[in-house]
Amino acid sequence: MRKSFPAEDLARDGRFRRARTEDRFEDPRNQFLPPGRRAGKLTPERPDAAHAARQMMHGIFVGEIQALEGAGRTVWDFDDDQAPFALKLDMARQCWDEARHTEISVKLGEWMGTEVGEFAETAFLYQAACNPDPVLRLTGVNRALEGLAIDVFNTMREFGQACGDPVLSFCEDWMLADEVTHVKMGSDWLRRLTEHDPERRERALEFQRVVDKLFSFRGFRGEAEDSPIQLARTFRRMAGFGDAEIDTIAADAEADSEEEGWRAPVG
Amino acid sequence: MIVTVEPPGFSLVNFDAGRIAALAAEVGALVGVPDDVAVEIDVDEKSPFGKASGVVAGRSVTLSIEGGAFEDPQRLRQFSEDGARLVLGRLLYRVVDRLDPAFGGPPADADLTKAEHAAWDAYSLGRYARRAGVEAGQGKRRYAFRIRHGFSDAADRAFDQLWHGAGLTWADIRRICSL
Repeated sequence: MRKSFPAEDLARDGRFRRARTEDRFEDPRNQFLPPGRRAGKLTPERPDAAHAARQMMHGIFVGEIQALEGAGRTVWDFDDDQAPFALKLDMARQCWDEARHTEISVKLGEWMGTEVGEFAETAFLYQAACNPDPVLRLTGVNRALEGLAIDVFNTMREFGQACGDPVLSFCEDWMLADEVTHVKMGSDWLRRLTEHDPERRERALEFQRVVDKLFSFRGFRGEAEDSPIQLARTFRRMAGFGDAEIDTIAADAEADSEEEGWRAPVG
Repeated sequence: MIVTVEPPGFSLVNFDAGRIAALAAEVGALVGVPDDVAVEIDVDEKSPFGKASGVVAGRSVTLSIEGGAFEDPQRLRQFSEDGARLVLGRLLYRVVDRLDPAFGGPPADADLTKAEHAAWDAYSLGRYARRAGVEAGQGKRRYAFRIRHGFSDAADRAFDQLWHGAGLTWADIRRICSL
């Protein structure tokens, strides 16, 4: 089995359709979206609340598949001298969580009236899991991607609570607990693997910052009142993020939201 | 039914005004829009969002549609015929209701509450599903209805009454939703 699997070759059945991330950034309609024009925080008050929640839930579903694929690749791609066996054991345990999350997400999609593959899938989450350096990959997957998962799950959990959806809020709460564990694993392994190599740790954190900026989608994820995905500070702290790190993600998202271009409209 | 589409050509999205007009005429005939009614469909191709609403003034109807409402969710900037049929079926059934004096006098679209929108949409799409012989997204409409009317057995019964309903008036819709 080959190592370092490219995103283009990920297996999907006929229900899925892949969209290129570049096409979204190059969408000519972006020029007509003024800076700050976003669909707004995901709350039941939004006129398109149901559609936006279904679309976000489908994004979570494909995100879970890609997180499973990313963690699975880490188990396989690195020899024991590159990544300790205990780290790969943690990634294997994460694979089990992500597989379960995928099944939960399929059922949540059915609950919300969404079909598998109803919305296009972009592979940018998995692309963050392709770095050949295991430490950088760990920060890409377990801190940037799974950190985003914390924010998204908390947003959906709060949405479920606000609209009185007992199934959505319950499932998101349980999955959120797993995501905190995944980020905590990333934080712990980053510290251990770079304990005597501050330069490598710095490179890993810089890589994470680049990925986090991409995952903020020009303010789609942030702390602005109209950011559909809100930064979940409390849960990020529980997962080992320092306040300074969270401040940086928030500041980068805010700065990026003023730039022109794709801002992931929902609805 | 006389249909015009604005703009007559699209440059940002791969939509065809002639095809939209033909679909609207087909759906309008299916749901019973009278022949003498003029329908203007204004598509905002600049918007990737999906808001759609209608205004009825005498025998003239204006449907204002953000481009995202007609867009294929799997293919960026591409037209979805199935999706457009559902949007048009939902809006044109509401036009038919508004043109029927027996239906009663619902508020203008802009003045409807979100709960009223969800209820009338369920009634409209339920009829369209039976008339066109399509599934029409009952599951997603039920979810949208629950968000506005509660996650309860009573709300589900109300949704079923609307989805399977026929010959309802505006007063009936409001009564069904007074859970």
